[in-house]
Amino acid sequence: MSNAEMLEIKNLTAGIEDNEILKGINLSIGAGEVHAIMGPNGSGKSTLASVLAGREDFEVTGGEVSFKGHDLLEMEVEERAREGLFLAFQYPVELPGVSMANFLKEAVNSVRSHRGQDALSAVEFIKLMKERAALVDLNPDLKKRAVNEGFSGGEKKRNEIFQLAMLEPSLAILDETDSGLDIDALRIVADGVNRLRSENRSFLVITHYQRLLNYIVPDFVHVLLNGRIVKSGGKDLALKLEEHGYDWIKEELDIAEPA
Amino acid sequence: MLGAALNGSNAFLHERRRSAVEEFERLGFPAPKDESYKYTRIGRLFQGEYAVDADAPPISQSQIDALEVPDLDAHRLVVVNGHFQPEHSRIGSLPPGVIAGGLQDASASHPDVLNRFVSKFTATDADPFEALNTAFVRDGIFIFVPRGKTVEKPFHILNLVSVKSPTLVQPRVVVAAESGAAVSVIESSVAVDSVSPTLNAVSELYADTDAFVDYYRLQLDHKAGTVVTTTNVYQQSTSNARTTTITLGGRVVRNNLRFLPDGEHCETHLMGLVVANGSMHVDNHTSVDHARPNCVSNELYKNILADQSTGVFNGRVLVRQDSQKTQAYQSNRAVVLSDDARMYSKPELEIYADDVMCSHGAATGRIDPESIFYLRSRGLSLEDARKMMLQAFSRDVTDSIRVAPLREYVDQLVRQRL
Repeated sequence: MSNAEMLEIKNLTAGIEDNEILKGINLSIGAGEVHAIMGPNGSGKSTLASVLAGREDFEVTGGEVSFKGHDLLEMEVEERAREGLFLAFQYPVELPGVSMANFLKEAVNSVRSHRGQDALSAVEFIKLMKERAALVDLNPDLKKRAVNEGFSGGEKKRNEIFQLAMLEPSLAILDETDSGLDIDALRIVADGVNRLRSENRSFLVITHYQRLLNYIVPDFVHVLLNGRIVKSGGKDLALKLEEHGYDWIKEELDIAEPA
Repeated sequence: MLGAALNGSNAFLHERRRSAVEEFERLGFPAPKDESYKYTRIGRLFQGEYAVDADAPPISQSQIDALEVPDLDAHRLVVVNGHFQPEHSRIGSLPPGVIAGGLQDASASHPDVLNRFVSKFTATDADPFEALNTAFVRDGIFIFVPRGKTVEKPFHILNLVSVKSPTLVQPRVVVAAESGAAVSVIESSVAVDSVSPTLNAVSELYADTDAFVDYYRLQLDHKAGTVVTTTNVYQQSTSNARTTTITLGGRVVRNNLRFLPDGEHCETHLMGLVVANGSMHVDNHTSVDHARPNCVSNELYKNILADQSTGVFNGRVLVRQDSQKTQAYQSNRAVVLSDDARMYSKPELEIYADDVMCSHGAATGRIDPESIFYLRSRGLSLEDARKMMLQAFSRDVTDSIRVAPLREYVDQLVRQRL
């Protein structure tokens, strides 16, 4: 990679109880790059996202992850977020009784405080919310609503990108953000992401389907199979996968079907 | 024994009290096997020696001011050890005909009005604590709002307990709203400079036809004290009665609430929030007797239990045979924050009418770990994430508080406690 390193994963292994799911992941993401990870169900895509975000259900059994030069695996979940790692959830959580405004104010200010910035005033905060909500076409009235409660599937996913826009991370991981979206919602989400692309912000886009990558055009595409990245390439690799599936890679690599 | 007491020359009250003494002698404190005190073996707490009354020691104005609800503009009534304290009270101006002040004073100045209400509605399933209060009560607060009058500002009763030796403090509050009248009352109780105080408080609320009574019981720091309260609510047709019980203090707390909507088209709301830690034990025992058709009751109790604390909820709803078109909803939820915290929840629905809508739900659980992970993944600390979830959990109770400064205050207190 020519750019400064954002994320460096070396031989990462992780699992749940005795079941090893990630079997030695190696991946480097430079600043400003968009990487896509594709793979069939059960290949470990969401586990990778969870491990990077710090979900405690998974145990890291080996390897190293460096995020902007820091040892990511040593950091608490909230430290990772404050340091600039953002996970857009595959299944965003409904938080009845927690208003969007309250939630985001605490989140934004905890991140700002970590960066040595002052807390936003009420007026600045409302202005920011309004501006960023417009990026994903979310009704600004949502500030009174409880987080994700009663949101449609598409609204939940747009809300994830809205939060991304509010928190201004250095690295955003999108965990199957496209799943369950109709074409209009997909376009809105992708447009929002594209407008948030910058030379200082990297993306790791985890998806099942190539169609998202028509809208969010990646710099690199990686194929995750059976807990390992088995092939990497440019955006054309995604098209080939869409057309031919994963079998040709398995044959090429002589990987046995997972039991 | 009753000489120095409330009744003075009021023969009616004298008779009420005499029969209460007999009733208490018959009932005694709840026995260990008493079903309605199954989870709160309270009788043993009354086995020692204690006085049944205490004079009010001097209380400084700053101690009282510390209990004020910030920004609350209210008619303030101060009670110390059950005795009304006019010098600390600040009643302010009231609409014509409204009576607000000490119970003993009212017994002398307005006996005819007071006698229409005191102990008019006592529970059919007699409770010894209510009888004990009636038997020995000396003073308290009487609030009367005549026909068609609205008291815009709430009344705030500051109920202070300050005892240096084991004492049973027994204030009584009687709130009566005549037809079409509206009144809000906040009763907050707290122990100051006390050793293990024991409070046995009774509040009686009367809502005549079309009346609105909104009542808040705020239970603050009671040191290692035992707190027993009785709230009896009697409603005539098309009235609306609301009670909100917020429990944040007391070593052992037992709240008995009994509602009798005794006319059609009544609306009844019972809300409760318990935030307990240490070895606190809080038991809310509620009963709604739907004696008439076409009434609605809505009950919501929430418990947040930390450390070795215990929560108990018993919610009885009786829908009598002729009470068609009753709507009765009950919900009890608890979050336990440790392995040692316990919640006992017992809904008791007895429905004898066939055209009704009734529901009940009880659930006890932990804070959802996925919700905590979600909040932390957005930069909130574990501690802040926990607080946010618990505050959200309590929010449907706190949000139902209609007096805005009180809502803010309770929200603030809950946040401090979490």
